[in-house]
Amino acid sequence: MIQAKNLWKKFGRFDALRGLRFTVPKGSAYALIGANGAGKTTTIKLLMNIFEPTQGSVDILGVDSRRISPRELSRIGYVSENQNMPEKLTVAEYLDYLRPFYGTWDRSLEATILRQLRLPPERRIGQLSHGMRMKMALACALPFRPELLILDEPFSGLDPLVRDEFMEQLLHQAGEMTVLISSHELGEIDGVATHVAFLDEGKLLFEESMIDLTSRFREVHITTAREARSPDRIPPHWKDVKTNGNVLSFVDTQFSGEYPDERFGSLVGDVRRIDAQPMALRSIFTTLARAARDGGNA
Amino acid sequence: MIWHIFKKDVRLTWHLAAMAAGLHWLTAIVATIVINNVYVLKNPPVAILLIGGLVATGLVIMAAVQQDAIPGVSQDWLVRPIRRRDLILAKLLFVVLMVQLPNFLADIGASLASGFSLSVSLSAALQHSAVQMLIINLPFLAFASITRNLLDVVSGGVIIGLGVAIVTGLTPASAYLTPVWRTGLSWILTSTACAVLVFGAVVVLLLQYFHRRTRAGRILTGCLIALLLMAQFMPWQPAFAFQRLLSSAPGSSRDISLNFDPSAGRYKPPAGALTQEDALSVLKQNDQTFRVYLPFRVTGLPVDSGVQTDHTEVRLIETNGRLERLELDRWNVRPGGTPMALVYPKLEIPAVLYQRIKDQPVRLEVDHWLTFVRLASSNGLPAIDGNQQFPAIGRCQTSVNSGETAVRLGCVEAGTTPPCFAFFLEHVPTGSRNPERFACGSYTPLDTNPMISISLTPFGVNLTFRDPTGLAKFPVDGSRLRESRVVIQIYRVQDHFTQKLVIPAVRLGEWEAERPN
Repeated sequence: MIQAKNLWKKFGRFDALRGLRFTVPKGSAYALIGANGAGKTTTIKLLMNIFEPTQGSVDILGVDSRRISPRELSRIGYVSENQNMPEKLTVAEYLDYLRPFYGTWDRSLEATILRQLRLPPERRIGQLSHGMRMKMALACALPFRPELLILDEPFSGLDPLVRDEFMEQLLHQAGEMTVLISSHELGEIDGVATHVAFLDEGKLLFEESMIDLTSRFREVHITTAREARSPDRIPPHWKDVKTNGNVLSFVDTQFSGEYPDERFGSLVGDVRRIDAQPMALRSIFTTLARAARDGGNA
Repeated sequence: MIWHIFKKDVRLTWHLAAMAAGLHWLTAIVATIVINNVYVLKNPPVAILLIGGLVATGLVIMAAVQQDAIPGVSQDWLVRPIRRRDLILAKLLFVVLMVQLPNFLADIGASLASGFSLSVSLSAALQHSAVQMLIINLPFLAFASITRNLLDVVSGGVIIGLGVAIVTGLTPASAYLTPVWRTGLSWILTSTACAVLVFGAVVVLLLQYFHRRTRAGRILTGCLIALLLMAQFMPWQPAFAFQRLLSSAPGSSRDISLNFDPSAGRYKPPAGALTQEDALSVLKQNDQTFRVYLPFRVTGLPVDSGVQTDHTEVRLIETNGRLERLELDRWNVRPGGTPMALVYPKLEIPAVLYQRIKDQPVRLEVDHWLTFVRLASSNGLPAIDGNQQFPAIGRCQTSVNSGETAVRLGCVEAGTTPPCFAFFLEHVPTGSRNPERFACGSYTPLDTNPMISISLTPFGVNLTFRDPTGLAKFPVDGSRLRESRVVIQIYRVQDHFTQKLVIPAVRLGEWEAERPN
């Protein structure tokens, strides 16, 4: 659906994106995570041909983003926290305006979405609150049943209630749709994303499917007979190795089922007990981000 | 989708468009009905309305274009399946229907109200509208496309205004620097500037709408404005060579020659030809410059013809070989019943130079670039309360001014006016005439002023018949006005030619003007 190939974007001397490579599979809910200024919005604007890449390219719906045409745009829904819609038009007037541009616009779906999002049709867009505007943007992005829905920080500044309404509507309409969602808040994409990528200072630190990610990470505590010590040669997939008394703790980034005692014996000595716990998404990210920043692989 | 986008823009900006159209209609009404088209540009309320209309037009276009602004990264239209071609065409449609059409209708209304036929009115309004679209509204569109909002427009306007003011302020008013400016050939300069403007506006629009290159668009706009400012420095020779190509009767001026004729004596302002005030101004010398009047005799002129100077270059060479470049006033002449005419063009000489050379013989070389015109038609209307329409001149009215010193002739033509006119007061029973006013305007083949919101071209003249001081006497005075008429003669350009005049030795001190009688 989307494939970025060595994507670079410079603003003057500042490298906003540095050689991004990622693939958004069809039907996935792909989360682009990163702190503010990491390059998420720049990436999305490159996808939409609002910016042009300095180097590299990105294909979207099989077309180079620089050649994206109304044909592709009619298959893409876009919601952004900074979307400037005509403030003097009412909600209904703007939907009337947009409708003819999309051959697949479903009026009954539009009515359903408006009703469920509780958007007042007669209200001017300029008079809508931030949350209502985000809902409005979503209401403009869904009725034509886009193949690809791009959400740029959709939850930014939304109160929890509006966010839940937004998410509910989104999940309700998602169906076969591919969703690319950018966020700086992990909690927002937990339970939604099928794939996740982490962006930091314009570089993609990793991308992976959520299932793989959660299944291969374990927080491991090994209790030994004597005082625990770090192995002389720490396996590269062990992260955050720490000792406390006779307990050795680390994050295993390549968990593949069970831990036979003999596997650790040669490394840490007499193993009494192995405790491997699945990790919360936030902890996985913290580990990965730290590892990536330290120059290692996860 | 063009119409669809257009309708959205109308919904959002109709009030501004209505305001601009209202201003244009008001201008047309005031110019046509209230002040009868006379001195439209010199009438402060009309001038304010004209400027207001222009500003309002700009604002409407900016507002429409900025509904889907090109600069910026957050506009909703960028992520919608809107064809760029449809977008630009929708904006053009907006300009045509919401800006041009009301102006066009106001134009036709004004023309019809001024007594012109529907076909003449339509033709003039169409020409005016097309030119206005190209050289005002298209650049407005281009400028709007590189701005995001009113703040951008104001900032851009201030930067452009400052740039223009600085360059204009730093450019001395000199015929050497801007030789084409304010001559009959200035249309070449303005047409070139307009061509550059139109070309630039189209490039900016294409850059913006099809490539969204705002920075390039803004740089190009800056370069264009610089180029437009540079246009005023267009050199004389190529402009004249081009104008010469357009001569309707090339070679018809071959018998005309120009000579220095010292036997004609010093310049003496003729009684009655000027008011006393005018006559005294001839003698006025100031600290910086001195004026001398050299007698030039023009021969070989057919009786119904005239010569207009477009440009001169004077080289003054002192006996020691020192060279000075001077400016000779542009002059024109018509023979008064004989195939020759005498003219005293004014030569301004810096005071320091004049004091040094006035009693010495100096060599003068004068290059003239001239236009030969011939009488095409002669028309007359009563000197008091005349109101008549003439072919190629338009509707003219006469009245006596409030000071009862001159007959005011005001004409208005739907579209093009002839290049040269002679006006004079003639006493019908005796045939006696007051000195004529002969003047050439522009030699342009396309004479419509897009800055005026109506296509009517006003022109006029004051024909003096009384000097309040009583010093100047006129053959046709106030007592004879009832039996007199204003004669309007049209002269058409035949040929453009050059003459070089060399005066080997002349003492300029001998050619100061005499005191008037």
